[in-house]
Amino acid sequence: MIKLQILVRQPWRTSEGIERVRELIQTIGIKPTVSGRTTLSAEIPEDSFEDVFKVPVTKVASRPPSERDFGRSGGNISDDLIIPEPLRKYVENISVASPYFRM
Amino acid sequence: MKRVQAIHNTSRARKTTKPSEELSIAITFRRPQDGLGPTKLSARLSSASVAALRPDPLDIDRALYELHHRGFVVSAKGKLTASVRGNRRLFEKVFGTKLKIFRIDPTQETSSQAFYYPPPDAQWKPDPAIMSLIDDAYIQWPHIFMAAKKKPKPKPQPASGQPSATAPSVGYFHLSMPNDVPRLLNVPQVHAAGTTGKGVRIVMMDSGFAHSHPYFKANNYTSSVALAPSASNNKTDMNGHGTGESANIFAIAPGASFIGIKLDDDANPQGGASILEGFQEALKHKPQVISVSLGYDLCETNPFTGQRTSDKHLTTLPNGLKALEAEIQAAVANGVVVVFSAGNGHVSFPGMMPEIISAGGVFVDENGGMTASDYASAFMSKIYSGRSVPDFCGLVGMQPHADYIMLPIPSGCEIDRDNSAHDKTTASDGWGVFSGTSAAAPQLAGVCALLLEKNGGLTPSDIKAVLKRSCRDVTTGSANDASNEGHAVKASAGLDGATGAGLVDAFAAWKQI
Repeated sequence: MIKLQILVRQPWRTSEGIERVRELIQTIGIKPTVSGRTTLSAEIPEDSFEDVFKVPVTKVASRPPSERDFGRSGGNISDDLIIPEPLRKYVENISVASPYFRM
Repeated sequence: MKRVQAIHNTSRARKTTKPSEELSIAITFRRPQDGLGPTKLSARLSSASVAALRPDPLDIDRALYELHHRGFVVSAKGKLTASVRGNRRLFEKVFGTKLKIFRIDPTQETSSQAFYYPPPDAQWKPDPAIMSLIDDAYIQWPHIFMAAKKKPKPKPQPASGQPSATAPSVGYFHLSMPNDVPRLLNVPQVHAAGTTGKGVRIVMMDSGFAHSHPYFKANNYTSSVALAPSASNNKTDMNGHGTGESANIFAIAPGASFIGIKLDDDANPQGGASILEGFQEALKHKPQVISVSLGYDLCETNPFTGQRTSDKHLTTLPNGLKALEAEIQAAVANGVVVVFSAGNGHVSFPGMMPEIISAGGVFVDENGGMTASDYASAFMSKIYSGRSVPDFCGLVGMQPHADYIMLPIPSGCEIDRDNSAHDKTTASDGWGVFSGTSAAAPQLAGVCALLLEKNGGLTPSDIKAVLKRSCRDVTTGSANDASNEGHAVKASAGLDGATGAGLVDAFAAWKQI
């Protein structure tokens, strides 16, 4: 599964707005995982990512600790994603969750 | 594509490695005006000159279509280059060459120790239809991990016996838990006054929290651990980072309600939750303080290896981090104190956000002398104008490894094994000597909990202000030059870039509220 991060547009940053986006993303095959006050996290199967977003995604491996950090998580990277049509009214930004460092 | 000499061809390597038949290939393209591509330039490319070599996006699509048509799979596409995958035989056919096995020095920490590549005398007769569309094609070498030389790793020892509640002796100066870290941050006087963080909810998100380690039991620390989406097993921590660094919070605010959010998936090291998912999960637990010792390095970076391609700071926030930025801003606006690590030479995000407390590093030596840690980051953000990182500091060791605080970790976990190469603990004793600004963030979060117990009405900006004006000034040393485009920021009298306001003084802050 590819992890997605969804930033909701300003007027919709309410529990109702978040709920609306949660419903909408499921109609295009995206599964919500958890949400906050302004954002939702979600997942999409690898094989449907390109159909929905029209760009490829690349898996990035995790890395063990090094001199400067205590390892890097795994994750995915992609070019900027185009917001699918049904979400445009409600969503300001959608992106793939990229790897992070343990500092 | 240039051919190469064999790198190493030892019998040991031959016995232990086998190259993958699946090749990862980088493709460069020609610019439309004169057909010149980046590999045909004699001058070194810079971030300015590279823009002049940008190919027509339609030409990229045409070339990738042709490669796809011949059997390659496109794995990534950028504005200047693309990556494709294909097997050895396909590559040999399309590019009219014969590949041989090359081997890498087995002491190097690489993703693979052998790979296919054209030897120096190999023919190179690519399909003309392909070569008319691209500049060149390069088989990607296995990437080198950022660790120093690979040490022989003992096999993981998944808890054949419980580690000791007592730390091993290592024979050099370091800080012991649970006493030294609170002592150097002037916490014991706060505890003596009866303030231990009681009733304050601190959430820490990290790799995991194996609090069944006898150290936590021996000190009567209690916690609850929740799983972020995709994380598994709330009792384990295969990396050890979260378990070890959480000891900093307990030592400073033993009475606080500690809630750990585990991000890692034990069964799938490539999986686990994102930082955003962890943060969203943290918010569900109604925290007053959130401590995060994770982050991103906002320099020009090879996204596949995580290695920097330049020390230059990014000047705009990447789109992929805007959701996290907004969620953190909303949390702080709702009264949550959010503490992030400033980084260990990283140009750290969210550690550079103005709304959060950015935790830097000060090293206190065995005689009590304070100096800026040269392991910790310090820089002016180019994304948030006027933002100097860090705000103030916790205790962090010095380069090369910041081996400074003896911390309890799961026996045989990743840090237990890897750190044993330099910290004089063993690979399976369940203890490691480490720090980083990963240690500073939970230390400062613990101090925030002490202040919030005394005065629950303090806002995040109140807490930042009181900590800032009560710090002990640090006037010597420099921060990590890797965080500031090669120029180490120096500490000096008063507020400075290296340590911000200096080393946090819990008692002085507590007295002020």
